[in-house]
Amino acid sequence: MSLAYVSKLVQSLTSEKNVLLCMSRGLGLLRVIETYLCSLGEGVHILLNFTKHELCELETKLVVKDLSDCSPQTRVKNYRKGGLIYVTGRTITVDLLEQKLNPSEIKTLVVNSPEKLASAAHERFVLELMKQAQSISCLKLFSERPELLKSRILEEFEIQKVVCGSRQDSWISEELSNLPGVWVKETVAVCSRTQRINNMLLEMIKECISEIKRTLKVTCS
Amino acid sequence: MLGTHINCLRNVLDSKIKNFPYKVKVLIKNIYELKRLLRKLEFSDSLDFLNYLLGFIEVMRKRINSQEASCGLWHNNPNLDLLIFLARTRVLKFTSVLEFNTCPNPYFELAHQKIKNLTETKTPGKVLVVLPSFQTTESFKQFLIAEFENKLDMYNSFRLKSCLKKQNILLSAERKVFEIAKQLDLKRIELESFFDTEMELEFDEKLEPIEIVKQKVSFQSQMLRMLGFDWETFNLGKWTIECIEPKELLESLRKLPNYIVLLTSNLQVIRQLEVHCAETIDNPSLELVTLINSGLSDSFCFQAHYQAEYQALASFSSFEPLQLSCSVPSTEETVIVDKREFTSSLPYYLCKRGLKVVPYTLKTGDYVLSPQICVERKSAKTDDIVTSLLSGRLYEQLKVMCSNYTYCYLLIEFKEDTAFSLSGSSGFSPVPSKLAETLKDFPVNVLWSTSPEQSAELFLQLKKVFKHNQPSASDVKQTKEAESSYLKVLRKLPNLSESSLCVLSSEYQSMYLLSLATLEQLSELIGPNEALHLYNFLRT
Repeated sequence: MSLAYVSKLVQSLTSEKNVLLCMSRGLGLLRVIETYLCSLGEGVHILLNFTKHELCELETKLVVKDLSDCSPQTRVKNYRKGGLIYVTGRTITVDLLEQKLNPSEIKTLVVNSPEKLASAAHERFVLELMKQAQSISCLKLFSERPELLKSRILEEFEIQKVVCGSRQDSWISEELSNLPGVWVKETVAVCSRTQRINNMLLEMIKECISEIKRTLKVTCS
Repeated sequence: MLGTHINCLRNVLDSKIKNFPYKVKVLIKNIYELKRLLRKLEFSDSLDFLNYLLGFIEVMRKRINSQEASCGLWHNNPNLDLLIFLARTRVLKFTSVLEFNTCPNPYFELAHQKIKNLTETKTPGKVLVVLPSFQTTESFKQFLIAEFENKLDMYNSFRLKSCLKKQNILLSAERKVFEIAKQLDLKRIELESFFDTEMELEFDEKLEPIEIVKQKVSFQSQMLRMLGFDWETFNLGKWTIECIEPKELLESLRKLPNYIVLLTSNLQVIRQLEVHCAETIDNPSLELVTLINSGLSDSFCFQAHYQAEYQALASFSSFEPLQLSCSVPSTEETVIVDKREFTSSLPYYLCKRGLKVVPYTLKTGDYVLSPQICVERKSAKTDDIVTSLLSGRLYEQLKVMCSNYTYCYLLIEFKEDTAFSLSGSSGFSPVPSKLAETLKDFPVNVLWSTSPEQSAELFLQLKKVFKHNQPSASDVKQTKEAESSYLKVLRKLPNLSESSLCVLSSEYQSMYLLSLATLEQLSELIGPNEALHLYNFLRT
C-alpha cells in the first residue's frame, strides 16, 4: 500500500526548477524518488550519486540503465535512446565536455544525498555545463540527512525551493500512527556496577569534550 | 546532554580537524576509544568486556611513554584502576571464597528469553532480531547458537542457504558437514571457561594484563566457521530466527516477519518499522518487542540524532529562494585537460571562469594552455607532490614536459587554510631540498596556489600574458614517459642524485657498460664522491 505523504511530497517537487527534498530519515526517501522517477516523461534523465544498493532497489521497480561501467559507444547509444540513466559524476562530466551528450538534452538531473558531495563536485560541474548550454532542465536533490546539509549546498545548486517532510509534520505522523498488533516495550535492567562503568565512561567523554573546548576556546550553549 | 555536546563538537570539528593542535587530535581519538568501550559494555558479557578492557589498557600501556599518551586521557588517569576494578567485580564474586561469576549480557539474555517465550507460547513464524551493528549481530548469533544449539535444525538452515550460495559449492560443503556431524556428537553443548585464577588474584598489580580464554563456541559452530559458513537464519523446527544489522532491515521486512525483537534505538530503524506498519495495515499480525535501556549509549545517540534532525528541518522553514545566476559565457579560450585530472575540481573552476575545457588523455603534463605552455599539477593536500618527488616520478615528468613544450610550469596546490610549506609538522623534511634539486635541472617555473579556484585564476593570467594560439588536440605532445627498466635499476643504486642518474643513463646504455667504467671516468661524469660510492658498490 503506498502512503499518501509520498505522493504529496512528489507533487510538491514540480513547482520549481531547482528543488531540494529533505526528509526525516527512515521515512522512505527511496520510495519518494521512485515515485518521482515514475512520473517523468520521455527524454534523458540523469541519476547521480546513488549507491549500488540504492540503484538495485530502484531497478526492482523501474528501468534504470546503469552506464557507469559501459564503453563510450554504449553510453552514446543509450543517451540517444533516453530514459533513466545512472552514470558517475566524472563520466557524465567528461561525456558532456566531449559532446557525447548535449547538455541541453538532459531533461532532469536527479542528485541523491547531496550532503555527501564535496565542494565543486562533478554534479556541480554538470549543472554549470547545463547552464552554459542554456538548458531548461530541472534539478532535483534528495536527502534524508538534513542535519548534514549545509547552506553551501543550497547555494552551489541554486536551490529555489526546499520541500521538507518531517516526521513531526501532522500530515505524515497521522499516517504513521498505525502501531503493530502487539508492542511490548521492556527496559533492560543492568546491574549497578555496569551502570557505574557506563557513567564513568560518559564522564570521561565529557571530560575530553571540555578539554577540547578549553583548548580551542569554544563556547557551547 | 551528551547529544548537545556531540552536536557542538561536530560543528566545531567539521573540516578543521587536520589543523587542530596535537592535543585535540589525541583527545578526539580518546573519545572514539571511549565510545567503543561504551558499545562493548552495552553489548557483551562481563567476561568479554573485562577481556576487551584489559587488552585495551595493555595497548595504552605500550603508548604510555609516547608523546601521544602523555597528553591524552589515559595518562595517569586514576579512573582506569577503578574501571578495571569494577569490570573485575562483574566477573568475580566475593563471598567467603572467590567465585567465578560471569554476568551474561542483559540485552542478549532478555532477547533470548523473549524469543524462547515466543517459541513456547505463540504460533510459529518468523522472528527478526535487529541489533545495532555488524559486530553485535555476530556476537548475538554466537550467543543464540550456544543457547539454542540442541534445538537448531542444522539441515534446514543449510537448505535455506542453498538459495544464497552456489549449488555445487554448497552440496560438497553440506556433505562434508554431515560427515563430520556423524563423527561428532553435535547435541552436546560446550560452554567452558578457562580462567587463570592465579593471575587474576593479583589485584594490586595495576594494569596487569590477564589473558582470558573463553571457549563458548560449540563444535557445531566451530565446524561451520571452518567451512566458511555463517548462520544467516536459525531454524528451530517451524520457527526461523534472523539476526540483522540496521541496514538490512528493509530487505528483511519484505519477508513479512511475524515477530520483531528490537535491540537498538536506532532512529532510522524505528522509522522504517513505522512505515512498514503503515504499509501493511491490512496485515496487523506483527508483534514487536523493543528492549530499551534508558541509561546507556544507544539511547543517547537516539536523542542526539532526533534533536539534530528536528532542528535542521525546522531551520529550512526560513529558507529564502535563491536567484538563478547567469553563467560566464564560454569563450574561445581553450584548455586541454588530462582526463585523469577530473578527480580534481580545477577543471570545474576553469569552466566556471568561461574557459573551454577539452578532456584528453595526456601523456605529458596535466593541462595544456597553448601549443607552447604545459602545466603539471601536484597537490600538497593529498601528498601527491611528496610521493612523486621521492619516487623520482616528478623528475621524469618534468624532463618529458620540458623536452616537448617551451614554457613549462609546475603547479603546487595547497589547501586554502594551510601555509605554503612542504616541511611537514615535524619541521624537518627532505621534500624542499629534493624539490630544489629536481628543479635545478629544468627550466620549470613553479606556481603556488591555495585552492583550485586560485589555480584557475593563475591559468587565466598565464593565457593573458602569453597571447598564444589556442591549443588543439594536434598540439598535444604524446611523448611516452615510460621509464626504461635500465633506468629503474639505476634508480635503485645507492647515493645517486637525479642529475647523476640522468648523466649516467645517457652515457652508458646498459648496466654492463656501466660496470666496465673506471673510477676516473665515473668521477668525470658525476663527481668524485658519488663516483667512489658507485664504483665500490658495483665491485662488491
